[in-house]
Amino acid sequence: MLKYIGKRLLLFIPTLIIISFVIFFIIQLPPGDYVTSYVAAMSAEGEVFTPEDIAYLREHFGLDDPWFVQYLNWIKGIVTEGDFGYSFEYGRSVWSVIMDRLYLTLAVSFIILLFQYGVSLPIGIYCANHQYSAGDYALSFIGFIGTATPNFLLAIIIMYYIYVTTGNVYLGLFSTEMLQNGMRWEYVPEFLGRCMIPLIVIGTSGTCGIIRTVRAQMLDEQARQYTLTARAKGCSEATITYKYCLRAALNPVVSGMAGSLRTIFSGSTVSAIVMNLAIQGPVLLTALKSQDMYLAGTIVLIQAVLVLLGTLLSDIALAWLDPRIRFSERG
Amino acid sequence: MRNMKKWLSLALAAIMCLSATAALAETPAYAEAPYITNLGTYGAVADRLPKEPMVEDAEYLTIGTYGGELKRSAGGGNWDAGKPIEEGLFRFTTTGEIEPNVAKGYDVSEDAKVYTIYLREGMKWSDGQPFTAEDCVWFYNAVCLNKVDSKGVRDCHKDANGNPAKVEKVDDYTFTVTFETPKYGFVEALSVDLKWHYAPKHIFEEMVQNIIDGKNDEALAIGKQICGTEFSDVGKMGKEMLYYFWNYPGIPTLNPYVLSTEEGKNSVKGEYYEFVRNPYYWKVDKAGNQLPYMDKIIYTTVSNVDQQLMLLLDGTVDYQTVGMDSIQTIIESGTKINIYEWSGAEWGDVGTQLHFNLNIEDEDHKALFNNPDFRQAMSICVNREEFAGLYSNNWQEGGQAAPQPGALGYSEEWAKKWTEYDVAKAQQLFESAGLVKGEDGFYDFADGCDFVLDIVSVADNGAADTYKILEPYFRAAGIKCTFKDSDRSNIDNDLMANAIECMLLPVTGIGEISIVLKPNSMVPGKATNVAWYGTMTKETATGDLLKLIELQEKIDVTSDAGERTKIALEMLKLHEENMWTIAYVAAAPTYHAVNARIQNFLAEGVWSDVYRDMGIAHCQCWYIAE
Repeated sequence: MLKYIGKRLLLFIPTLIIISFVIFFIIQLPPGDYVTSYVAAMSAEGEVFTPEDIAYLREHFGLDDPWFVQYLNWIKGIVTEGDFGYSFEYGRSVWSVIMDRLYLTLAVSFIILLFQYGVSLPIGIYCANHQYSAGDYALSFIGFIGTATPNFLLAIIIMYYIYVTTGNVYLGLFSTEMLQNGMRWEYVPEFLGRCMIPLIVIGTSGTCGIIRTVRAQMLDEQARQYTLTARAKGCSEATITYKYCLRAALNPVVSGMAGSLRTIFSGSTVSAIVMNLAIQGPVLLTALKSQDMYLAGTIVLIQAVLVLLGTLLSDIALAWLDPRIRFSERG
Repeated sequence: MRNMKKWLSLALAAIMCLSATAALAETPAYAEAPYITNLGTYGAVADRLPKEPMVEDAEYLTIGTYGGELKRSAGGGNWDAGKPIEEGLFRFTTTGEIEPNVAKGYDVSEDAKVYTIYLREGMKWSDGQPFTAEDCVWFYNAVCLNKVDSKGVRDCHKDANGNPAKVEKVDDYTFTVTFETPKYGFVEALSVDLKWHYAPKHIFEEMVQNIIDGKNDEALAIGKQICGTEFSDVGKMGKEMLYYFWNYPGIPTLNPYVLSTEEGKNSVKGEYYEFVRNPYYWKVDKAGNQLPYMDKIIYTTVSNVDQQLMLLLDGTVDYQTVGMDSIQTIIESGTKINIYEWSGAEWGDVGTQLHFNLNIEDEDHKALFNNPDFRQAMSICVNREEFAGLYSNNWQEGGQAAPQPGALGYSEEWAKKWTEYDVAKAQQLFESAGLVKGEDGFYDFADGCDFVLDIVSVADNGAADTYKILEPYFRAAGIKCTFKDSDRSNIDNDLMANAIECMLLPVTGIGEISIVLKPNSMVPGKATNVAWYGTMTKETATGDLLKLIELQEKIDVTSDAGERTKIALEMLKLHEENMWTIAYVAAAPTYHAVNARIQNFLAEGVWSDVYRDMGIAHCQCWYIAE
C-alpha cells in the first residue's frame, strides 16, 4: 500500500510541472499582456498614456522578458521562496490576495457541500425505497429542475422575488451595515437569509447527480442476495436500509467527494458574480480578463494540485476498500 | 491751530482703535461637525482652518446640516473614488473658467515666463501637518523630475521646446514656476495635466530619496510602513502612492475625505471601504461651517452596473450615474430618486461613432479614407432616425459627431452636417471617391480589387448589435463590410501596430470639453489608442491634418486668451469641414440618479474628464435632508 502511495506521489511531480507549464502558456497566449489591459482600462477612465509610459510600465512589471523566462522566474520563486508572484491588479503578493478570500470561500463551499449531501442523501434513499411513487417523481423533478436551470438564472429569479416581496436587495453575504459595523447578533437573521440564496442556487445544482446516484445504488443493493437474506431473517427495513444497503451504496458517493476539493477552493464563478459573493471564483475571472497572469496562474495551479490530491485520495480510498486494486498493484 | 491738530490726531487714533476692535469682532466664527467635536482630539476648528479658508459660495448651494454618510457602490478605487474628492491647485467652474482652489491665486509675468502661485497660510494636511510651498516644490523637483510617480514632467510643465520648467520656493506660501520660453495658459494646462502639484513631503521625503538613490529595498520598507502595502518594486510603489495616493490608507491628503485606516474598511479592493472626513479640510460654507457636511463616503463593492442599479433602488446606494434604459426602471420602482441630466463633452453617441484610420498603411485604403466624399457617403447612406430608434429603443435621436450645445465650436449646421439620408447621393460620392461598382452590386477599387471595409470594435460593448443595425444600410449602398469584436487589449495592440482599418465605438472617444485643454483625441499624435489618426505624427501628417497639429502648437505660443480661442475655433472648423469621424446618433446626456435625501446636488452640469466628471458637483457640499 505504501509503495502504491509513494509511486503515485512521485507521479505527482512531473504531472504538476507539465500542468504549470501549460497553465502559464495558455494564460499568456492571448495577444497583449497586463499592461495593455491596464492601459485600456485607465484610458477608459480618461487617463492618457504616451508610448514611453507604456514601455516604462512593461519594463518595470517585467513583461518585456519572453514568456518562458517569466515562467521560469515564477516557478523559481515558488520552489525556492514559496513566492507565488505579484498580482498586478491588486498591487500585492498573489498569496495575500488568495488568503483574503480563502476562509470565506472554504466556509461557503463547505456549507454548500453539506447542504448538497444533507438534502440529496435522504431524498435518494426515499426515492429508492418508494420507487415510482408520487414522492419519487416529485422529488426527482425538483432535483432535475435544480440541475437543469442555470445557476445564475436561478440566482436572478430568487433575488428578483426577494426584492419584489421585501423591497431589499440581497447582494453578497454581508449587508453594507454588517461590513461597516462588524457582525452583531441583530444581523444574524439577515445574514442567514442572505446565506440561503447561494445555498439554494449553488447547492441545488449538484443535488440531482447525488440523488440519482444514491437512488440507483440503493436500488441495486436492495436487489442483492444479502438484502434478501437479511429480510428473510426478519431484519427491520430500517436496519436493511441504513446498516447494509446504504453503506454499500455510499462508496461511489464518498469517492466522488474527493473531486469536490477543487470546487471547495474556488467556489462557483458565474453565480458568485451574479450574487456578488466575495469568494475566489470572481477573482480568478478578473485575473484572467486583465491578464494578471501570476494570480490567475496560481489559482489554476492550486486547483490542479487539489484535483490531483483529490484523485490520489480517491484512489487510496478505493485501494483500501477494494482488495482487487491492491492485489493488482502487488502483481 | 496746534490744539486742533492734537485733537484731530486723537480722534484719528480713536477711530483706528474702534475699527480694529470692530474688525476683531467680525472674525468669522467657524463651526465644525459634531463628529469631530465628539472625537475631542482635534482642538478648535479655527486653528485647523487656514487664515483664509476657501468659501464654497456657488449660488445654488444652501446651508447644510452635518452628519450621515454618502452611500456609493464601486468597482475598486482609482478615479471613480478619486475624482469626486480631488483637490487641484486650481479648478474649473461650471462655466469653464479657472478659479483658485488649493492655491489662493497666482500672478504671471508680462512675458508669461514666470508664474507665481500663492498658497493659503495656515492650511494643513489631513494629518495636521502644515501644507506649505515646500510640498509643491518638492513634489515637482523630487517626484516629477525623477519620474517617481511614473508620470514624470507633464506637458503643462514643458515650454515650447519641451524643456521642463523650474519650480522654486519663494516663501512658505509662495512658489514660482519659471519657463525658458513664454508659456501661455499654464494654469489651465496645469488643471488638466497635473491638477494637484503637491505631495506630503514630511511623509514621502525619505522614501523618494531612497528611490532616487537606487536604495530600493529601503524605499519599499518605508512605503510599507506608510500605507501597510507591500509593493513588488519601487516603480509600482511610486505610481500607486504618489499618483493614486487616495487609494491607500495612511497617506495624508488635502481632500475632503481620506481613506479610513481601520482594518476591514481601508482597502479599495475590498468588499467594503470608507473615506472619512478630513478634520483639517480647508473649505467652509457661506455661514462659516467647515465642510464637508457628511461624515463619510462609504463604498460597497459590486461586480457590475446592474447590481449598482439594484442597490440604488433599495436605498443601499445614494448616488449613481445611470443609462437611459435604467430611468424607466427607477421611475417604475417608485423609489424617491431624483434624476438629473447633464450634457456631455463627447461628440455624438460614443456607441455609434465610426472612425476610419487615416494613416493606414495600404495606399488604396488610405487615399479612400482621406477622401471627404467617401466619409460623407458613409455618413449619409444611413437612415439616422430609423437607426437611432432601433439603436436606443427610441430614446435617442439621430445626429453627428460634433460639439454639444454650449460647448466651444458648437453650431447647428455642424450638428446636422451629412445627416440627410440619401443613398443615391452616397453612391455618386463613392464613385467620385474612386470606387467602381462591380457586377455583384458592391463597390470595388478602380483596379478591380474588392473593397471590403473591415470594422472592428471592443467586445462586450454592444457594438456587435449596433453593427447588425448598421450593416444593412452599408450593404444597400453597395459597401461590403466585415465586423470583428475583440478584447480591448487586442484592439489596443492593433491600434499601436496601426493595424486597424475602421472602428465602430471609440477606445478613446473623440471630443472633450475643449480642444485647447485636452487635444488628445482631437489632434493627431497627442495620445495613443485613437482610432482615426492611428500612429500619425506631425512628420507623417499632411494637408488639413498637418494644419490641425500646427494650430495646436500655435496655441502654446499665443499669449492672448481671445486669440487662443480663435485658433481653437479654427481647429474645430477643420474638424467640421473634414468630418474625420462620423457618428449616427446624437450624444447621450449623462444621467445622475440621486436619492432624494441628498441635497445640494448640481442640477445642471457638464460631464467631462477635464471637470473631473462628478467632481464638479463638489460632494463636500452635499448633505442629508432632515
